Formats: sequence, C-alpha cells, structure tokens
Amino acid sequence: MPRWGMVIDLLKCIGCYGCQTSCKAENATPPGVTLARVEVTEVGTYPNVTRVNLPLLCMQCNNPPCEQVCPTKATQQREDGIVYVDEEKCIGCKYCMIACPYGARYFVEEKRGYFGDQGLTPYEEVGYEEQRKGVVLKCDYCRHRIDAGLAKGLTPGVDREATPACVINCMAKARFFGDLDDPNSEVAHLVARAQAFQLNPEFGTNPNTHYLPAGRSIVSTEPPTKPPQKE
Amino acid sequence: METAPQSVWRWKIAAYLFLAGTGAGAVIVGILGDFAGYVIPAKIAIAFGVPAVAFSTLFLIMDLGRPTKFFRAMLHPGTSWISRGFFIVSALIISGGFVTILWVWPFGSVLGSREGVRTALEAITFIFAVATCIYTGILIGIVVSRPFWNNPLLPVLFLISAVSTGIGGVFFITPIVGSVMGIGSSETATFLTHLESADMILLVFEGIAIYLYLTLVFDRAPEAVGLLLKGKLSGLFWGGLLGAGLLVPVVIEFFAWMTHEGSSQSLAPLIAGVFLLFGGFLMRLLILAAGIRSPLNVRTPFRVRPGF
Repeated sequence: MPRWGMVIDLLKCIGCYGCQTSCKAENATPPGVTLARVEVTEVGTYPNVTRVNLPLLCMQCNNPPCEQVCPTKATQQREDGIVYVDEEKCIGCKYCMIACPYGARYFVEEKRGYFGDQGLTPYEEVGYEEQRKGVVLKCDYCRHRIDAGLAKGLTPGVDREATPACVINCMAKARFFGDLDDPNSEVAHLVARAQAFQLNPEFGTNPNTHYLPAGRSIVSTEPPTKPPQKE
Repeated sequence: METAPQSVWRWKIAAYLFLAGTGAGAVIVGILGDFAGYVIPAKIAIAFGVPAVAFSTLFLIMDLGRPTKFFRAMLHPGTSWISRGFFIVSALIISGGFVTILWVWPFGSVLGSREGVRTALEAITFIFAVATCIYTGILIGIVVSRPFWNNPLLPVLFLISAVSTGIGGVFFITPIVGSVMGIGSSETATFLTHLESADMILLVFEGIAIYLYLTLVFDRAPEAVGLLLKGKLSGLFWGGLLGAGLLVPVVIEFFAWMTHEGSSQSLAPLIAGVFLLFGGFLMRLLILAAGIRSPLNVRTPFRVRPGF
C-alpha cells in the first residue's frame, strides 16, 4: 500500500496562487473555502527577516488530531494515508477545525455562489451538486483523481491525470507528489534531504506533506575557495 | 502583529459552556445543601440546575451544521471528547431528572421518605455534575495546537467557575421562587447566608486561579494572553470578567456578610447572582475567544555560505 505524500519547495514558490485557483476549479469550493491556500508570512528574527510564500493545504497527518476528535467518525484515514471527510456522516460540530493545527478545515455554512444575487453559475450548479451545507470540508489530495488514475493503471505523481490539481498546475514546479514509501520516488528522495521539514512537528501530527526551506543552508567544513583570479 | 480571536466556536458554545456549568454547579450546590440538611433550598437548586443543563444542550445542537443529526455525536467515545461529553451530560440529565421528578415535582413524595435511595441517586448525580464541569475543560484542553487551552489547570478553572456560577444561579432563582411560591423560610435565608460566605472564598480562589492560569500559559501562548490583557478582548477581560464578574460580587457578599442582614428579604443575593452569572458567561466567552492557534514555524531560509 502506498503512502501518498507531497513536498513543497519554498525556494521555488513564487506566490502566484495558482495552486489555490486550480484547487477551486477542481473541487468547486464555495466562497471562503480555500482547501489549498498561500499565506505570505514573515520568518526569522530581526535583523535576519524575510517574507516567505507559504503554500498550505491539509498536511494529511499520519497521526491526525482531527480524526481523533471527530465524534461521528466522519473524518477517516485511508490506508494510503489520505485523511478525508465523509460528508454524509459529518454533523458540522467543527471540533476538527478547533483541533487542526494548520487551519486546513473549512465550514460550509450555506450553498452560496460567487456572484451574489445573480444566483449560481452553471459551473457552480454542477460543482455544488454533490456538496452539502453545514459540513466541514478539507483537502484530500484530490483522492478522486488518484483513485480514477490508479484504476486506469496510471501512477500518481508521474502521470498528470492521476496527480492532485495543485501539483500539476504549479507553474514553478514547486510541488511534488508521490509515494513516500517507495524509496525510488521523487518525493522520497526530497524528504530524505536534511533540509526537508514538516510544519510544527512538535504537535505530534507527523504530516505527509513536507517542505523544503526558502533558502538552502550550506554547511561546509571545507575552507572557502578563492574566487577565480582575473588574468 | 494584530491577532484575531478564535472564531470557530463562538457565543453559542460559550452559552453552552456557561449554562451547562451553571446548571451542574447548581446541582452540586443543591445536593451538598441536601446532605447538609437544607431541604427546600436544595430542592430549588436542583430543580433549577437540571433543566438548565438540559436547556444548554440546545445551544450545542443549534451550533451544529446539521442540527437534526445531533445524535450521531455519540458514535466515537473511544477518542472524541464530544462523544464522551454526550454521555456525561446525558447521564447528568437522566439521573438529575430522576431526582427532580421523584423528589421535587411532580412525584415529590416518592423520595421524600426514602432517604437511602435519594442519597444514592444524588451521589450518582453529583458525580456526573462534577464530570460535566470538568469535561468541558478537557474538551478544549486537549488541543495541543491551541496553547492557551492546553493546560491542566483549565478543567480546575472551569469547575471553580461552574460552582461559582451555580451559586449565582441559586442566588438569582431562590429569592424569586421563594417570594412567588411563598416558601421563603428562615432555612432558605440561612442557606443563602452560608452560600454567600462560601462564594466569597470561592471567588477569591477563582481570582487566584485566573492569575495562575495566565501566568502558566504565558510562556507558550503570549499572543493569547496579550489579546486578553491589552488586545481586542482587554475591555471585556478587565471591566467585564475581573470587575463586574469577580470584584462586584465579592464586594456585595462582603458587605452582606459584614452586616449579617437576613438574606431572604435583602436584594443582595439577587444582585450578586446577576453579576456572577454575567461574569461566568464572559469567562467562557473570553477563554474560547483567546484560544488561538500557535503560529506555524517555517524553517528560516538564510543561507550560510562557505567563507561567511
């Protein structure tokens, strides 16, 4: 059984919000719900401070606090690591939103379109058809794409059709997707790097979404090389 | 950086925490009162507390996205404190309901003479009432990513506040019921006078508990404490919770205690009760609102170049 994981390279991310937009297009989420989002944050301590584009989505934790607190077992974890919400079981108590350390969950209060009094657009009507109101939504690594792709014999992370929408739409190629348990996969190689990190590991969530820092620290024991002399 | 208060669970959850705490606190006070021999005030307190707890659950159901499916909340007691709370509160309503129906109204005679059965039922109810006060603190206290709540003192604070607001509810309801039904006796007056002294001490402890709490969580949740002490919530915290909710009732109770006036006639408990209830609600609201998430830690991106 694979364990799906994602690596986001903050050095490559240019903050174009393409992941956020493609997620909305793929999942037809109502206003206010951004299952994939980009936060521009400040990191470091003065005077070494900079701004970083931080793309966020559900971290698909191996040890998900949202699953533990869910009183109806609506939030479940699949064997491949994907944490998803069974909207039929969800009663909208929002305890998972309280428990999630990453703010990856959204409550859908009402079926509302983007254009107010004009009503729903045809796209929204189709997209919202299967959605319920009064439930909590979260990113599930586009499990519909993964499952459909696997059924066709495709490899998620390699074949576009079987890969989450935010990953294939990333124009900076800052997002990588694949099987973390396969030692030959690209994501496994990236996660094995010393600089790869998980967000707030102190919460004990052990996320399957990993990050590479916005700058690489190069720790060298060798003496600095002299720049080539001009003749 | 301006931090926004927690906005997932708002006033409806605060109203539930407050009403359930008040009801359970009144039940605790009533049962202790019965054990101490004050029968009529105990009956009033229990008959007020149990319906208050039952009523409080309406706020929980109202807050749900799909209120008609609320009964599903009991499906995951293995790990979810909402499911566990569902059972604890249901048990309190059921056992407390039995005490109320069989002892207070409409079948008051059933338990009136059977002291052993009554004591047993009351002991069970007492346990679930204490559990109701405490579990709400655990419910939000287990969330590791919200450090303002993630503290073992929170259930203690909730228990103290629940008993205090329970006393507030008794202060408020007893004179009214007493004058309406004409059962204001010297027994009730003595009971209220004792409660006033007890609550005065309890409120001092609550003040100490709030101080200790803020000191304890400050290291891990400086943003949340800042929000309460000098941020958006500071007015409600200083003026509302500490001023109107703690200081005013302590002063009222102190003067009532000093003057030794007959409580059944005086307005002191009624007024103190209103302030106690107000402070109790504000405390739940403020604790909920201050439960903001820890900031996300992004590894710093600075390069360490060789030669630098």
